[in-house]
Amino acid sequence: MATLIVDNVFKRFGGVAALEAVSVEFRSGEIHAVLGENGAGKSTLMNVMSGFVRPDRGTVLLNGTSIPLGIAFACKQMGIEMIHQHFTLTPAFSVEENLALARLDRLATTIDTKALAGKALAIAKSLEWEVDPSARTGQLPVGVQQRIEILKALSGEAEVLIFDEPTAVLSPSEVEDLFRVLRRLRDEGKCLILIAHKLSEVLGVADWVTVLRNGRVVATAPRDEVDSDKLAFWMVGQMPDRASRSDSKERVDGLTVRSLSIKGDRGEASVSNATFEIRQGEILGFGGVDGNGQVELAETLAQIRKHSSGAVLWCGRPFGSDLPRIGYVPQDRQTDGLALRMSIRDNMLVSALHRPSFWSGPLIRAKQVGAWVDSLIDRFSIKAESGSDLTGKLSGGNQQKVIVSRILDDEPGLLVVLNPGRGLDIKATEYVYDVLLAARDRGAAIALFSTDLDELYSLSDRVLFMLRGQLVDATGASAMLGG
Amino acid sequence: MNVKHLLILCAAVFAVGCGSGNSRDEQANGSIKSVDAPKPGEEFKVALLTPGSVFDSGWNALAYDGLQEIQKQMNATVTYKESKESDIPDDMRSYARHGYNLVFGHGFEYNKPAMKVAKDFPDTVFMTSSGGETAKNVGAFRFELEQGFYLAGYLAGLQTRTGVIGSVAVQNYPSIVSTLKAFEAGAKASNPACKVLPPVYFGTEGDVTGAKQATERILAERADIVIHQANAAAQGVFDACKEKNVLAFGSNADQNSNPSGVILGSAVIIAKPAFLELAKQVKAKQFTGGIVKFGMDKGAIDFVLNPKLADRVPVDQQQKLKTVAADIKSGKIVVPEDKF
Amino acid sequence: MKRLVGISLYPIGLLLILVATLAFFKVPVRDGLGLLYSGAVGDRFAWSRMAVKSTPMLLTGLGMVVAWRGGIYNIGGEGQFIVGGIFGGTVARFAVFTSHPWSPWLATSGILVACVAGGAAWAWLAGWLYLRRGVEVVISTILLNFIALQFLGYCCSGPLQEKAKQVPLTDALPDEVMLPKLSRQMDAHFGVVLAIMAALLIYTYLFRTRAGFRVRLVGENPRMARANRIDAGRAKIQAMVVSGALCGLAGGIEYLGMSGQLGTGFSQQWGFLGIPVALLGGLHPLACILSASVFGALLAGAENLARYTPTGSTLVYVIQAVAVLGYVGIKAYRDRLPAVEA
Repeated sequence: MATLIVDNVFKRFGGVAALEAVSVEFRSGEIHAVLGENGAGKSTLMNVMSGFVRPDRGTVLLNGTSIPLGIAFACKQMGIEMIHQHFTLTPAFSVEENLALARLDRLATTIDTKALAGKALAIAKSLEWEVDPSARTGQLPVGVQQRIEILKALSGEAEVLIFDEPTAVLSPSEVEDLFRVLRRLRDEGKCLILIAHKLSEVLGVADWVTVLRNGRVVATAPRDEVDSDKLAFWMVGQMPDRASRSDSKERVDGLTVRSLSIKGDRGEASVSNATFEIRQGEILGFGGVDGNGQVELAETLAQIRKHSSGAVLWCGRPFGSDLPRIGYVPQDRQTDGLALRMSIRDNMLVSALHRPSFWSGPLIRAKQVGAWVDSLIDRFSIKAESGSDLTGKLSGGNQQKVIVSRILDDEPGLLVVLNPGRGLDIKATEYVYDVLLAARDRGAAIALFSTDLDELYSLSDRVLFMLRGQLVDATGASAMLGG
Repeated sequence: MNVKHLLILCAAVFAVGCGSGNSRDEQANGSIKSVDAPKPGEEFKVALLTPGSVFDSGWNALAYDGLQEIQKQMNATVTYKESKESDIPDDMRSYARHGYNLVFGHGFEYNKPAMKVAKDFPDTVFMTSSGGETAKNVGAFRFELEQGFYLAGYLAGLQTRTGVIGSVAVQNYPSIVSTLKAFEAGAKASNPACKVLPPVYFGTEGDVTGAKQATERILAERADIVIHQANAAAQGVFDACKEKNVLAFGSNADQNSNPSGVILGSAVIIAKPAFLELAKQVKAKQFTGGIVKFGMDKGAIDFVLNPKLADRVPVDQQQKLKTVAADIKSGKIVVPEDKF
Repeated sequence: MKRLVGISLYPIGLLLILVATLAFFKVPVRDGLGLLYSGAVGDRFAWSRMAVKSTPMLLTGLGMVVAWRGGIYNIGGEGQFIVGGIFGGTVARFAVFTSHPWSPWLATSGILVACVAGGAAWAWLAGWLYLRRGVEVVISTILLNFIALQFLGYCCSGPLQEKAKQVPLTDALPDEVMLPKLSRQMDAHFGVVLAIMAALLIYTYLFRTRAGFRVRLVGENPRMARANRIDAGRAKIQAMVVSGALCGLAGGIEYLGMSGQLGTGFSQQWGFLGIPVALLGGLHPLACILSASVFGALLAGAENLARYTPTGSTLVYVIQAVAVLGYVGIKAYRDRLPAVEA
């Protein structure tokens, strides 16, 4: 039976304290959730426990022995496994190969993928997961990819499993299934650590909750002694208050889509015969499980992808160079949204290439841009030392804020948004929702794609669902989502 | 720096390495250059600039031999360097600044840079092997290698069975072209019916493979005797000849002992006395510029039969060859020379 | 303090590499180092030599910086350098070697512009092949290097050959067309200034202009550029053309500053040497001035070494290769050190 004890850990990055005097005890047979806002230190703590980050001070003990701090591979061999939010799978490999890769302990050996992956596949069976060993990993939906990630960890006889935001990318039914598996693993005596920020989910599955704020432990408590209000109070200090939605009266013609068909990257039909319209000052929600054509449709609306037939019109006319200004918040912020090795300033500048006030001829007006970047950092409370910080060093939530801030500040007429709250904490989510609603009230037509039903319904004026490239309404969708 | 960058970097370093890998003179023969700091005084200092490695057993090697001779006989401080293109003037200036009395540039391409640099260094004499311009402290000496090539051509005309002979050379430098013309003239003199193929140039100094391929092209046209001006790439010529079992001539240096065993004879420059004579003139401050010719009459050019293959040359042919050689020496036969 | 120690590893490492290489080739180490030093920075002639050697490398290095920043791996600097020279030589044919030559000033600028255009065109070709035909730039540029070299050989013994038609070289440019020199006894020419100006200009281009920003963005994350409707193809072609123009300029400056004529040995690996210069300069235009100077000093020093010791000029490439590998090694070592606290 395992116990993982974090003892008085300190860690600073540059001038920012990520962890200060953090002590927590995680016991086997329990699901222990670690909650906190973006930048509260969750990820750092997790990275310390799994050996990816070496703390400045303090120790971590597994069953009384100190773990090799800062040496991830050795931690893994001791039985501490981490399931990353951004999966560590090789997309071009088959599922079997990925599973085998995780069990490979040295390179100079012949490889029998079947044998190496066998155990993981057996575990999959016992968990009632259907996994096709020969499928190409990169082509699987994220939910399935996550399962493979979990299987990788389980096949190594891990005693401690650390999950980084496991529900962030999952549909509601996938979340339920994940929780079922988590409970079962708990009952088998594993020590489960869950990094999360969705209060409802945490309360649904966790036995213990620890809340971090600004790098310090605010409280550790058993599930029974807390409710969502209390947790929210611990996390942010005060309960957020959702701005009420103001219904705009006048609705002007906006985006019209007629019989739109789109081909995917491999030439497959990914969206067929879609017809809808989004008026200015309206949010149209698109729900559905990942991989049903949402990204392709979103990219087409954002004028990034060409469609194969049909029409996309703005105020009755084809898109021109003048109108509308399009804002696109992509699904995957790290690959499509940001250049991680460039500064916050450069990442924001992307949306301001056309603003005359920032440029004199071809040359940038550094002063104006600097002031603008600082104002965005300030207004969106992005946690960074300055605009010249690299975006790759920001926490996930702050990264999303960089994207959303630069796009919304551009006051786009058409906004195409995918999972805007993905991986964000309460405060940040609220903020993003508020600015989306404000943009709508300003008169933007917004296409909101989300796998999160809460998000979808709390923001959208109307909701459609996508199922294998077809648009269906909510009644048609309920059958498909399984209620 | 990511992995891709590193890979490309390695490839680039490799490419640079390959591109410059044809000089092989690092460790060899460390004795003759001295690592002296320049010191003032009466010491006689001589530098040699060559277009290629001095260990090519050919054009560059013979200058190197000359340099060694100067060191030995005159107790001079000597040094040498490969020098090409835009490095030439700077190398000359550096030697002159360091008090070198005589700088040899072993090729016509050193002539123009020497003219430019010499103006600033009146105390240093610049001497180039061939080249047309001279000044008070710029001279050119010319080995009349044409005479040796004429003799080789003469013998080739007598020896050929197919009636076809040819030549391979690095580039169509004027000095090279002139010798090949002499080779043709010699062949026509002994065998007017003989067909002399136009020279094949392979282009790159030291390119053994290129030289071999060029030779194969000549042999494909039924040539059975080949002469070369391939310098360091000569081995390619000999290898090709060996494969087709035909004969070749060596040039510049005596290459008769080449292990391929196909060399009937060599048209040689005997450079030591020439270099030594010039150095002595310079040391005695007697040199006043101009072009100095070194031919068979001064013993600087010769044609040497390979003793191992001498039985292939009937006595009457050997006799004829000797007569022609004597005629050239005495001036009775004037071998054609291009002006350059 | 730690940082200082870390950075001082580089010069110390370089010194060790030099000592080891000299020892390996049996050159007396103290004399060898002395010759390297005096050849690189020993007197004003040495400084001039170092500057002149650094100049083409700085320009081709800048070319690599722009292309690589744009995520397009141009290693055809050599070819672009050469084609630049050929274009320049062609203009020289009509501007200088005619019965009615242009005024020297006009001829010089005309030749320089032609060189830039030639390099740019050659690079554009590789960019076009990549975008329209999907040919990997790494491969196409290598092959174009060979084509350029062969083409140069053809030009020098064909249409551009000197008047006497004896040597595979073009006519030597008269002194008044050449770039102005510091003094007759030194090679340092106005091109050195041009190269440093180019470094400043490229810095401005990459970090202060919209076009340069697009290039950097496309290089850093093409998917993000796409999501923001930035035409990655256009940015890449632009990066490639600017890159080629710089390499062509390097060719022009070498032609007008140093050689004055074209031959098959026109480019002494300058295009390739730009790659380590760019990488050691961390793909930063201003840092490239430093890295090019280091390489220039190495080359100039090694030339001097070759003049007065029995080492061949090959030694310099050995030193350079070992230095590059050493740099990579030290960098890897430094990256493994625990993060330095502010």
